[in-house]
This record gives sequence, C-alpha cells and structure tokens, in this order.
Amino acid sequence: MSTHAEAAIHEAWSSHAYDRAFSLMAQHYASDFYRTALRIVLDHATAQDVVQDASVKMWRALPKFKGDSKFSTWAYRIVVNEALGALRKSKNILRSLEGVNIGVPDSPHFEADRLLADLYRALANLPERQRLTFQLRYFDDKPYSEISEILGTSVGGLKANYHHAVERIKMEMRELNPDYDFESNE
Amino acid sequence: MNKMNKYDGIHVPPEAHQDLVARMMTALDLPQQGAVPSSRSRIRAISLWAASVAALLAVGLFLFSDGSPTESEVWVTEDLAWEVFQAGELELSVDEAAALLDESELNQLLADLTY
Repeated sequence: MSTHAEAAIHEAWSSHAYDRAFSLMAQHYASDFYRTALRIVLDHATAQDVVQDASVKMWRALPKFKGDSKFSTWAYRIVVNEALGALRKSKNILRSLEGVNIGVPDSPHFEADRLLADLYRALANLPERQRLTFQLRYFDDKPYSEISEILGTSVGGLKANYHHAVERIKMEMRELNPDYDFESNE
Repeated sequence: MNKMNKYDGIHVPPEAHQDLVARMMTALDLPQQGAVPSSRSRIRAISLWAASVAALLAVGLFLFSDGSPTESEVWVTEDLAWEVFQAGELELSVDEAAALLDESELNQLLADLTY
C-alpha cells in the first residue's frame, strides 16, 4: 500500500465520501486481503469469502473509523479476524484432510517450489499467534508496531513469537530438507 | 531463514484482482453503521430537544404565574406541552431549541426526561 494511496483514502474518508474511500481501498488492497486470508484459511474459495465478508464489516464500520491508525492496519485487522473466524469454523474439515499438502494453500493463485511448500508445512505446526506473527513480519514485511495493532499483542510479545517461530521453522525445515544449506542463506 | 523464499507464492493476476474488487464493492449495497442517523433516530433526537423546550416553557409559565388558575389563564403542564408538540402544533428546529437553552440547562432537562 503506497503512502499516496493511503493519503487518498484518508482524504476521501475525512470528507465523508465513504463510498470513494471504500472503492479506493478495494482497488488497492483486494489482492493483499486475499493473500492474507489465503495464508490463514489455506483454501481459495474460503479466502474469497473472507475478503467479501470482511469488506462488509469494513464498509459498515468505515464511518466509525477513528483515524488513529493507517487504513491498511485497520483493514488488515478486520481481514485477519474474519479469516481466523472462518478457520475456526472449518477447522474440523481441515483436520480431517490428510496428505503431504496439509498446511499448503490450495488456490489457483498459489505456486510454490518444494522449499516454500515445506515452509508452509512448517508454519502449519506453529501455534496460531506465532504463525500469524511470522506471516505478517516475514511475508508482508510489516513492522512490529503495525502487527501489534493488527493482532492486539504487545511488540515485546510479537518479537518473542517471531523468534520462537523462526527457531521452530528452522528446525523443521532442516528435518524436511537435510541436504539444504540454510545457514548460508540466512 | 532463507530469504529466497520470502515471496509467499501467492500471485493474484489482474483479472482475479478485479474479481476480488467486485466482490468487495458489493458491500456498498448494504447500509452503514453511524454514517447518517436514521430518520427515526433523528426524529427521536429532535423530539427530545423540543420536549425539553416545551417542558421549560411549562415550568416558566408555572413559576411566573401568580397563584391559582383563573378562567382566563391557560395552564401548560409538561404533559400538555408534550401533547402539543406531538400533535404538530409546536415546531422547533434543533437550532431554535438550542438557542433557547444553555448547555447545562439542556443537559439537565435531557437527563430528567430520559431518566
């Protein structure tokens, strides 16, 4: 999300042009919302539904947005919460799935080499907070301060979560790929 | 971590992006919360203001009257003022109502009426 786009959305929102603010947000964020949702729910159709359902919540809540954080932060929080809700609803289904692709997104828009697929498998074994923290920090390059607002966790807690996540992923990746030299690629 | 893997493997092509945008835009068909007060809540708010003014007028008439009612005097009770307002005989804009009361008086009356 560019600063320019964020400013344009904020300007429209400030002048109560909520439909324009929402439209700009959709144009700039739709794919990012989908990516975030897909990494959590791991299913294409569910991720699409999450984006749509989160959009309804965003639209309804837009006039109440306090402007005390970036739109992207506020919007990500809604998407993440919606995705977690969808995940909890579908957890029994996901748990019943078996096979090597467990933890790997199932989507026509997902393509991964073996190493990346293994990373997703390792992520699937992490506790929820560690997994979310890792995804937002590692894949999205989000600063801890923003992740803190999205997940409602202290920055200190997030740093600890990320550290534990990295250590555990390294361990699992070494087990899955004993021949790969991770140290030289760190 | 292997930084070569930092890409999450998810690539949304332009047509899929537009499909997601379209999905998001369907939300605009739904009403918002708190964007514009509904007519009902606006009427209720204005009613409270007008009722406050009516009640104040009734109190004023009572205080400035010189005792028991005579045949020529019209007594305005709070209930009567409210009935008059509800019957549409008394019309006040919010600005007019606000002009008749200072903030503390209005707050007190509103608190009394809404208790």
